[in-house]
Amino acid sequence: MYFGSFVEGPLLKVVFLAFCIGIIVRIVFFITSLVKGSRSVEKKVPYFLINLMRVFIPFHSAVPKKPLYATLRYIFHFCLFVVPIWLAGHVSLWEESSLEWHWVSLPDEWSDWMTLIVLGLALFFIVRRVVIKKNRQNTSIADYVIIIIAALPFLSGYFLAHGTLDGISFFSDKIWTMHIVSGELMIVATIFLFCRTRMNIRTCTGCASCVLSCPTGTLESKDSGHVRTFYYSHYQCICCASCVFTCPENAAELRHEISLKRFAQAMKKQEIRSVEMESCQKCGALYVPEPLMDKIHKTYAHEYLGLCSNCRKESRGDYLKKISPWHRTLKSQSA
Amino acid sequence: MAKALYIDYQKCTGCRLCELVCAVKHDGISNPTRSRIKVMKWEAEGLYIPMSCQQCQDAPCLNVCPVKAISRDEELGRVVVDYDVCIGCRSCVAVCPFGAMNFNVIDKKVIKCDLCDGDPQCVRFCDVNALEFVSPDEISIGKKRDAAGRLSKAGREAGVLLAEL
Repeated sequence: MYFGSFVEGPLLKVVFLAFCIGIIVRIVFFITSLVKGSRSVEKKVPYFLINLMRVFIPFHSAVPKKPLYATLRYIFHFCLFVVPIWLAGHVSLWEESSLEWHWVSLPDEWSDWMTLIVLGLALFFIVRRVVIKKNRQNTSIADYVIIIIAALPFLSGYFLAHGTLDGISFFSDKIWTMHIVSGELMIVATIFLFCRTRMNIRTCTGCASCVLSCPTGTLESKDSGHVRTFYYSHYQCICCASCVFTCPENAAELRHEISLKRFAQAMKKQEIRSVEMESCQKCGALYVPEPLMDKIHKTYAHEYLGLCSNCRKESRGDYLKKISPWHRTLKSQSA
Repeated sequence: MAKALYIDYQKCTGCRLCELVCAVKHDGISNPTRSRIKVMKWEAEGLYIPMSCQQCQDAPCLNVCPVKAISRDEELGRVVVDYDVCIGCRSCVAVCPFGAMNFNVIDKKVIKCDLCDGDPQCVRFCDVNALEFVSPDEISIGKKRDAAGRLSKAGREAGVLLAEL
């Protein structure tokens, strides 16, 4: 079959080549932007190294917020990484190829179980997104697509290894090709897979504590005019989830995003959220983001909330001035 | 009983030494904008009122803090910020009725009066004793004495006036 041989031969080579180049480019972009963006000029070298170390030890700071989900996520990613590389079938293919590379392979039962774990968890993640209302509202189609892209090679691979679908003639011919195509799709998707902090519009108060907690300066906020805008630079992000952990409203999320465009935009800062700022009724200075003030208004409703810090001091002083006996005597003297 | 910072603004001369001392004590920089205490001025009337944290009993900053970083320290009678817990959301800055919470944009953290752990430097350096660190009952006794003095003075004046009649 022409398509089958094309997928097996030239396309696979192109995909592997693209993967290698893509990974190298991404590492170069990542390191340069990390060096450039790391906070605190004096401590640049240690800061940058600390951040780099945190990439290699991917401990999420957000784990304590959802321990069970985080553990499942870790297991999923571990299996996703280990199975394709150390699967006995894949290792033997490398040995048979002209490169003749070989390395230790996993026992077949282990890889079977790990494949089932990946498939089960992928199903669980999809169901979780569909069932829980809060998650469903925050989900875009891309989120489902990413999970499906990750799970497809495992599904086809499992059927291929066990020959479950060989009874159906359509699958018995095509399952090999399907496995390779889905694997290639996954490899290509890996190059264009980025993380991105998302802020839930409904709950985010725009307080910018995520910006303060960000160790690499990936998240930035800028107050211009009456708007505070948040920026995110995707290459700089080490996916430490400090923003997710810090957010007092649980509005920040770190999610996957597949984008061809972002791959080329090395130093680009994405605008991810903007909030209106409230201005002081007396002096007009901007002092608090509007959603945060709305939240405060739920517990406190006083007139002084419309003033900025300095004007509050002044109005308090004005009050003291009015009641001060000294001022009254001054007034009576002048009158 | 925990002492409190008593501000007798009628004595204040507006020299702003307290602001400098506060910034030097906490940040090591003599920059009055980074001070926890702030002297509000009405130059036309010659009125100077130092404004600082009131260490409220039912503090709005404490109630509004989303991560419970602010707590009351009953031993020293103050409201303290735990900087390890604080995330810098500035809710406390937005809610403080006295404008006593400030945000330090250089260190990126909220700053408030912590009574210098029981030895307020602004009190130590205030030449005219406009700032005093005294127990709260002393404040009220002083005020009572003043009021009583005014009453007795008024009484005496009234007596003189009556005698003249």
